[in-house]
Amino acid sequence: MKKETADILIIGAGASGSAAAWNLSKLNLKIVCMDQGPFIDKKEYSFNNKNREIYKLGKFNIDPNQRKFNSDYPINSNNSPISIANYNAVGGSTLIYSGHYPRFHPSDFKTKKIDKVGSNWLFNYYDLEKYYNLNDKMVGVSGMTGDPAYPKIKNLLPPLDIGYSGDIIAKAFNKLGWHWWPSYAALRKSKKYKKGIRPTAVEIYLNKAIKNGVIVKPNSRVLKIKLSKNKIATGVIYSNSKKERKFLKASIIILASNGIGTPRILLNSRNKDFPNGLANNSGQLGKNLMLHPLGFVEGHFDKYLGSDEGPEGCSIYSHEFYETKKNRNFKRGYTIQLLKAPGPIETFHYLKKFNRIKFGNFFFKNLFDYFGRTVPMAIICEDTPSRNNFIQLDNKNKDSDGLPGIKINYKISENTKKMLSHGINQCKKLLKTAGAKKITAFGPVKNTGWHLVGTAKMGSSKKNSVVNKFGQCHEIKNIFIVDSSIFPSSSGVNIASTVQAVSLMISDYIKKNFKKLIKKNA
Amino acid sequence: MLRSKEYYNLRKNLKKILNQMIPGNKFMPSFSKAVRIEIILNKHLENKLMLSLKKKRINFNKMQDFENYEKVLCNDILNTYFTSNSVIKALNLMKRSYLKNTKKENVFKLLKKVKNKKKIFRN
Repeated sequence: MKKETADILIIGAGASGSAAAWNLSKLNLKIVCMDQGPFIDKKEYSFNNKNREIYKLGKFNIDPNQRKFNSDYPINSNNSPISIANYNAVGGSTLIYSGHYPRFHPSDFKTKKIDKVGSNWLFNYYDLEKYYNLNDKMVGVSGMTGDPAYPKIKNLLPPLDIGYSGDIIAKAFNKLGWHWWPSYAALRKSKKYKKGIRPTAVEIYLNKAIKNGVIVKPNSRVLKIKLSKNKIATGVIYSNSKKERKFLKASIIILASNGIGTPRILLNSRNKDFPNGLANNSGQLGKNLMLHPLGFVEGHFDKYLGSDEGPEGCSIYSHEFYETKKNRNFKRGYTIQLLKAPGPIETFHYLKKFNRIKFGNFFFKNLFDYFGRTVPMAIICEDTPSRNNFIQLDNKNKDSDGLPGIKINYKISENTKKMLSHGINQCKKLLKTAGAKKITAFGPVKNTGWHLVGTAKMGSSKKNSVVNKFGQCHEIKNIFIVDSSIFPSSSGVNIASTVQAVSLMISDYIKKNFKKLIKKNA
Repeated sequence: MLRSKEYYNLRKNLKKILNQMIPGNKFMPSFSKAVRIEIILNKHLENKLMLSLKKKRINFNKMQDFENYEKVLCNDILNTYFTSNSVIKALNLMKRSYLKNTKKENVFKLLKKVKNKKKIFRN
């Protein structure tokens, strides 16, 4: 087996791994960033690619079990009402994300303390604020200051156009006296590109890290993390695109493979000292999976609203029902998002499902009675941690390297069910106020497990958590985790902004203490 | 191997079918005006259903629905049609014409009411 060396190895080149790679690239060290997926040409995943709708059903399908690429691993979601969505390539799931970039609320960091549900973080919003600001600057987040749902957020790029559908819904929000605000988005206006420019982790961080000397190894899957006798990680065995097995020696290993991929690597690396998976003597690894159950409500309007136009993702959002209120029968809350309606191809397939479209003389009438006249809304519910929601290795389904896949065991809590039902009713009320002629609603939506949180929980004690406040494994001091698996609570918003802010914070700690960490582990 | 006459018949008949499936309207072009028939034809040349079109005369009145063709061609028809430059152009023209008389309020004006709301986050 060939041997290679690095000072720092980052496993995963997605949202969190790229941010860490860039932040650490300022040190004069040999840093390797490894990803099991390939480099993909920027033009292919651009919002402005005219084949985007086709790609969404094919090579950029959100479901790894549909794609079945060599870089994917099987995820069995039969035991869950929500299935997992991800993308395995350099840039990770940011290649397919909508670029919605809200921050967590200050209360999200202390749900146990103030609402007696979930778990508290070991730092608060204001500790993270500096990194939120840095990340917003790097990403180029557009939005508007003065939002009453957040402490002041400065230096945002000009907000995106909310469109005609946004205009109608904003007026309905105002009629009801509810909060709404133009969304925080990783999207820039562009005269040339109608749908705006959406940067991914590759453009935001990774390309800059590569310029600073970081080595990126695509198509390289980590098979096992190796430990020394004194429980220090020595490096990893990985398989490259030619399926050659290699050993890469590293002083520090940073895991950045999301809430499923990170525990999968640790579980697959089990040994005599850690028979239940590395750093898992607490038994918490893989537990407390949180997924953001999502409700979908769609209003159908008489006239064309151009709701298929503009950038993908969310154009306006509401946090009217985000915080706990005594008069509601659930704790914590949810975000309402106004989404973009599907394009003509997706619209056809949707109508076909319900037998509402046929080729022939009525083809365009059927299509344009629906296309651009619907206003889709999503309700993103906060999820709370539970030991009964967990992932485990699935030995029946293996990836292209023969490693076990993942099985999801997940149930929606009673609290979240009540939240979801409340959200659906409020959205129906909103769309009625806006003048919708017909409203359809359902939830939870199956293929919406994008936000994978909580499976390597942060905590102060090694008895009930996997990492400390710096993302450092309690039991293996030179393994750090910088992705969403360490989040003790899920919040009710998209997690990309917080994932990257936390990654910058942890990598800052590593940067400042690198020499000390190396000495201790030597 | 198809003879040139058979290929000619096949192409002609397929064009008729595709134009019946997507006939075009005031804004949108018919299928054959937007996409070269050969793109679909060459992809499905070995399909039995397609080969049956090589006959000279086909009674199109009998083909009230396109279910069989839809099963085989649906994705290719949609994908090639809606990504063709002339259709993208036509679609944009149609949208512009639909939105011609729709007015939007200034977003800052709309936000006035929200800005005056109490802070809704908890520290």
